[in-house]
Parts: sequence; structure tokens; C-alpha cells
Amino acid sequence: MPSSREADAYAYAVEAKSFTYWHPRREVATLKQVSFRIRPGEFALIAGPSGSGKSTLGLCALGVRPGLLLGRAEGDLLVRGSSSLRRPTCKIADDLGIVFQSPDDQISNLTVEDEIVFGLENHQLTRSEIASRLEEVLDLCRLRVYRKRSVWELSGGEKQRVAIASMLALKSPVLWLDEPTSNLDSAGEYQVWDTVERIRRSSDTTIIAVQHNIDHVLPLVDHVVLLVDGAVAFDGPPAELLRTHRWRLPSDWGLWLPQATDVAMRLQDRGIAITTLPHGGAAVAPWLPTELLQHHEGSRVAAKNNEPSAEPADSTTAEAPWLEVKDLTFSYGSGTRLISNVSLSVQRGEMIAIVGPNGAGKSTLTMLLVGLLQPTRGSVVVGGLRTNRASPAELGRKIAYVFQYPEHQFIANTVLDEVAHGVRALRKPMAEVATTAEAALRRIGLWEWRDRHPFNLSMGQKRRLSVACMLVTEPDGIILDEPTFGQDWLSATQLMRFMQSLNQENRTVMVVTHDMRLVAEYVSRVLVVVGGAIVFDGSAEQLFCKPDLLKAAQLIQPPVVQMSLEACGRPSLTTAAFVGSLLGDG
Amino acid sequence: MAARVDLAYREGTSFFHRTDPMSKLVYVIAASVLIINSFNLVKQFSLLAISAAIALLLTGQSPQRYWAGVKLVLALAVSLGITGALLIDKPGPVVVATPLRNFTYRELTDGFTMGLQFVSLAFLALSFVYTTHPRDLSQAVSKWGMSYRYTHGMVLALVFLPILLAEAGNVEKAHRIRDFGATMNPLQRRLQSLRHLMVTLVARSLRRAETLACAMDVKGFGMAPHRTYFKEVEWWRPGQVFAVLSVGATIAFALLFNTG
Repeated sequence: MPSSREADAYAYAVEAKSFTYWHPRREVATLKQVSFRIRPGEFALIAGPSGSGKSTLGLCALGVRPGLLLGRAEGDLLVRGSSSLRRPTCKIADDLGIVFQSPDDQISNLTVEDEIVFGLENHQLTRSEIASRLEEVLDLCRLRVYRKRSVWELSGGEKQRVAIASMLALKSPVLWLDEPTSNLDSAGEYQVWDTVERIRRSSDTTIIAVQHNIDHVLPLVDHVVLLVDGAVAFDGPPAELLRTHRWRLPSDWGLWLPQATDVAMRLQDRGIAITTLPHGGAAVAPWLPTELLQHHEGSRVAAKNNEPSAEPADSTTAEAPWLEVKDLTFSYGSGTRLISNVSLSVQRGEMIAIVGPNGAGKSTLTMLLVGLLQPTRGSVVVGGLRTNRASPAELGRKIAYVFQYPEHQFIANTVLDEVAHGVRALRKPMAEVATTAEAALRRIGLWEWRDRHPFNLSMGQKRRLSVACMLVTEPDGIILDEPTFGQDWLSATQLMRFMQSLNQENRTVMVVTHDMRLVAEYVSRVLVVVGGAIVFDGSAEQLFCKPDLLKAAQLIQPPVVQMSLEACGRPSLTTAAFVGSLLGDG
Repeated sequence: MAARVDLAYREGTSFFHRTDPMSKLVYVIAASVLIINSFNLVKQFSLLAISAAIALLLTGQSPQRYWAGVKLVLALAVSLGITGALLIDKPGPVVVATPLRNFTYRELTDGFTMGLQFVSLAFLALSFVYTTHPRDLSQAVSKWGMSYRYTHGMVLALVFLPILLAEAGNVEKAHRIRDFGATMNPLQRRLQSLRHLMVTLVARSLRRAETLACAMDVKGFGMAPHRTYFKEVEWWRPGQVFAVLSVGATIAFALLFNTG
């Protein structure tokens, strides 16, 4: 295995030369004439919307495509000067280590230590060399306390750090991170980028991160390659990207614009001089004009003395609650209690987020609300029906549930049939089945995909289809588990606007989420679940002012909230609201 | 929400934890041969008592943990016992008369013995699984000449079983919620649900297998015919003696009580 110290023997760590790649049996190329150069020791970001070919590019660099999984390629893709098209993956792996999106899919051993040493054992290193590399990466990735733990005891962020550590132990000079945080909660995301930053500071490893949510990573990188529809739309430093293409990032390319950049751009539009456009992050001091900060000095002091009320959001009205939970407890057969004495009232037309750390019981709670699990004690009443006494058909007309992985719900061979299945299950006449299914598909913009297999849709389309399937019964409320999970800005925004439109029709919308931007921008009420109990019930604004609670629930405020607290002493939930606060609007 | 099937290895310092996997395998095979070949109810009770006592005394695991494991095979053991009693034809005085058929004492005890055999085997299997790190088993088997490329499959199975079980549970729930009630009879619905479950699981497992194969390839798995093992399996003498004694005891038991 070559040492990373040899990296400078090559001009470029990764170089694409007019690289074009076609998937097997596809006429249109997935990657089109892609050219870029990443120097040794650089931290590069390959960004782009879902389906732009980012992950395919990684698999091509690794020689898995077109080699192992076929396909056709033209041009060349070089890793440290050698073509990936003419080398087997196990040889390329000496130069390039890759960490995939889902930590669960890439771990092949039972304990942290076993996973880290696995590659070293395969490369037949001596025991003393293995021990020394193990110690090194345990410290670098802050995994020493987890060393003997089973991988099943770890959170998503911890597992992804184990995956990174196992690659670092191999001392691959180039580390390719393929959307390493898209499956993680905000705390996990922070852990991973913190680890990457430590690696960058302590070694000369070339790091290539593939990502569509660039808020956390943009301030860290030296170089951005933007892929749009399989072609390079931009290749250069991040400052240049923001200077020349900032407006196109969300609207044309479906990327999350860093909130700090968004705020700075809005201030520029209002005539405020910002000398250096921030690339992201959550601090305002480095770039916000001093006079604006000084102007809010008084507000910060006042806010410190007047913390926002900790009272729960007022959801009591004269109407009977649409959903009522009383003393709800749920345990497994083994006696492990997952939900403890939860009581809750929800009115029709509310939009609620359920947040909390992994394993807190959020999904269990929502499954109890829709009758997929039955309470050990207590009761759940939805629209006047007790979940343990109503039939699935009756409950399906009151409340719908959309799972985290849309594929779990699919049962038909075409998109049209998938939606029609629900209507048929309600014993509607054939004519009504066809018209209802068509109307549902047109509403979510999938009518033109009606003959496709549901598994062949993009992630965003699958998510919208799974929602449409559950809405054919016209329920009064819907619960979505991680609706924005793994989606780019455009798909996530389309879905959440659709949820808002349902909410405006007086339907209750509840989302289980780790996405704090979603919580800040869309919901009116937040429930925080920790250890199977609801520990907070209030507005997002109130939640973001409770640092101890946020820490206990492993939640991190979105950058705009952190920035507004720093600048004005009170939280703003959107970039527009923060700019308004800064400039004293209204 | 992960499935709660706890069949995993747990670290420990018990006699079985210190014994190498091959010695434990010898014990398991020897005892299994004896159990499978004993068709006498009293002998089978004795063997169950011995295998349960060894499991509880030498593995450091709680009775509750064994009960959780045995529970999983209990339904199978009972149905095996009933099926056995129905299929065995042994003459003698009728002790239980049912509309289906009449049972003699021998038919009932033989059926019961078959069920007990299953429970005894469960104790043996669990005492091995709870105390043997799959990595050590893979290493021990590799030392006997089998390629690590195949033996690591045992570790992979244990890594992916909980994921697969949890996913199957979620898919089943997701399909149940889309059913909206009965549009077909329960058997048809069950069969269709099974078909949908399999399609989803196979599609997702193939995708997962593709990623895992890449991840293992990158880590050089299968690149060379041999690999280093960071932790060498320790060949603990008392464990080896125990294996030899278990073989001796099996032979003695067979000779003394004329098994069968």
C-alpha cells in the first residue's frame, strides 16, 4: 500500500478527461464529457442535484463501473495518474478509499475494532503495524471509547465515523466520501464533518466529498466541481461559485444554498456592503458589518435577561381534539419500554414536527398513532376512532402514514397501478379507480411517469408517489417519517410545499424529522421525544432557545437560528426573517 | 425500529468463552449425535438436563437469555412432536382417543421425545452462538484449510440478519397500512403480502449487496489467498480437554445405555 506521503509524485489526485459513461442499455449518457482536476492534498466538493451522476462518478473512479457492473465509457478517469478504466478495483483501492452514503450497507464486521482492522488484515499487514494504525485512527476519529462496542450499539454518525476510520487505516492517499451525511441526524452530520476537518488538519490526504446539502461543507473546501445533468456546470473555488452562480444554486440546480450566504446576499440586495461573501457556517461575526452588530447590542443584552417563555404552544380550542393520546405506554414482549405515559392532543389543521435523537421512540410513537402498533396501556383516539378497535379501512380514511423508505410501501409494477391499488382496496367502481388515480398522479406531477416501475423513480419522485398512494383515501391527517431524507433542495421543497397545501385544506400534517431547517421553516408546533417521553411541546422558536434541551435531544439549531441568536439575541427561523430583524423591518 | 431477536455473541470470560471454537464445535457435534440417536423419553430428558446444565453453568449467560432463544424454536418443537406422534405407528394399548386417530403410549412418548430432541439441540446451538465470536470461528475454520473468503460469510450473516429482520418488519407494516381492509380472503391476502415482501426485500438486498461488495473490495477482501488475523484464536488446554471428554462421554453413553 502506498503511503499518502507519496501523493505529490503525481500532478493530480483525480483527473477526468472528457469522461463519458453510459449505464448498460441506456441511450443517454449518465456522465457527459466530464473534465476536472483535483490536486493532491485538496479538499474538493463534488456537488449537484439528485440524479446528476455524482455517485456514478465515484463508482467509475473506483473501477466498479464500467468494469464490474458493465456499462460503456469514453475518455479517461485517472486516480493518481493511473486510469481507473484499466485497473481492477482492489488495485485502485490502494490509491482511493471510498465511504458510502449508508453506514449500514458498508460495515461487514460486528465490532468497531474488527471493522477498522478488517482491511489491514486483508492486506496482510503485521499485527504490530495493524495495532499502531488502529490506535492512530481511533484517536483521529474520536472512537477510542467505542473500540469494543458492537456496531449495532452505535448511532448513524458514529457508524459513519467507523466507516471513515476503516478507510483512513488503509492510508489511502485519496478519500472519497459519497454523501456521507445524507442518512444522518444533525448531530451525526456535525460529528462527520468535524472528523473530516480533523483529518484535513492532521494529514495530507486528498478529500473528495460528494454532497447536495453544501451548508456544512462549503466553508471547508478548496475546490468545487458542480455536476448538473451529468455535465460539469462549474469547476473552481467556492468563492467563485458563489460570486458567479449563487442565484442558480437553489432555483436551477436544486441545491441547498448555505443560509449564511443567503443572508449575506439578501443584505447586499438591501444595499448593505458585504466585503466577503460567507461560504456557509453559522457565525456572523467574520462577515457581518460591525455597525449592524453594534446596532443590535442592546437587543442581545435584553434577550439575555428575557428568555422566551417556556410555555407549551397553546393548542386548546373549544373543538374536541382530532387526535387524543392518553397515558400511552408501549413495551415489547421482553418488557423493554419504548413509550412511557405519553399524553397529547392535536387539533385538525395543525402542522407538527416530532424530533429527537435516534432510538428515542419517535417512529414507535407515530406507529401507535396510526394503529400499526397497539398500546400496552393507555389509548389513542383519531377522529373519534380508538385505534385498537377500528379496522385498517376505517383508520385509513382518518390518518395516513408514509414510511421513511418509500420502497417499503410499493407493491405494484407501475406508478399508475401503485396509486390505483389503494382506490381498488376501497372497493370503488373501476371508472372511479382510473379517474382518482389519474387525479392523484397529476397533482403530484407524476402522470408522465405513470408507466414506470416505482423502484425506477428518483428518490424525490418515490417519496411523492408514496404520499399520493396514501392520500387516495382522502384522510384528515398524514404522518411522514423523515420526508426530506436524502433529497436535494428542489425535491424537499416541492414535497414540503405540497404538505403545506394539504395543511391549508385543514388536514393535520405531522413529520418525524431530523431536519432542523424543515422544523424552522414549515411547522407551527414541535414535540421533542427523548427516552420514549415527550419532553417538550411548543414552538420551534421556543425550542431553539433551550440549549440544554437541544443538547439532551442531540439537536442542533439551523445556521440561521445560530446566526440570529449571535447577532440579535433572539432566534429567526428563516433567512428572510433574520434579514428583517437585522434591518429593523416591521 | 430494530427487530429484537437477540442471538448475538456477547463478550465474556466464562469457560466456553475461553474455549476455542473448534473444541466447542466438537462438543456440539458429539452431543448432537447422541441427542439425535436417542429415542427414549427418559434418556432424552437426561440429555436435555445435561445440555441445559452445561449451557447454564459454563457459558455465563442468564436463564432468561436461554429462554428467549429456546422460545423461538418451541413452536417448532411442539409441532414436530405432534407430527411425530401422528406419523409414528407403534402397537399397544390406546391411552388417548381422538376423532382423528387413537394414540398408544409409545406413539405419544416417541412424539414427545422428538420435540425434546429439538429443545436439547437448541441449548447446544445457543451455548455455541452466545459464546463464540464469529470472527474467531471464521479464523479457526480457515486454519483447517477453508478459504477465509467463504468463512467470513458467517460474520456477514450475523451483521445483516438484524437489518434484514428489521426491514422485513417495516415492509410488512408498510404493506399492511396500504391494505385498507379486506379486498380478498385472508389466505389470498397473506400470499400476496408474502410476494410483495419478497420483491421489496430482494430488490433492496441486491442494492445493499452491491454497496457491501464494493466496500469489501476496497478493503482488499479476497485480494490475496491468505490474510492476517489481528487477534489470534487462543487454544486453551482445558477447553480442548473438555472437547475430548465430551467425545469420550458420548461413546460411553452410547455403549452403556445402548442408545436408540
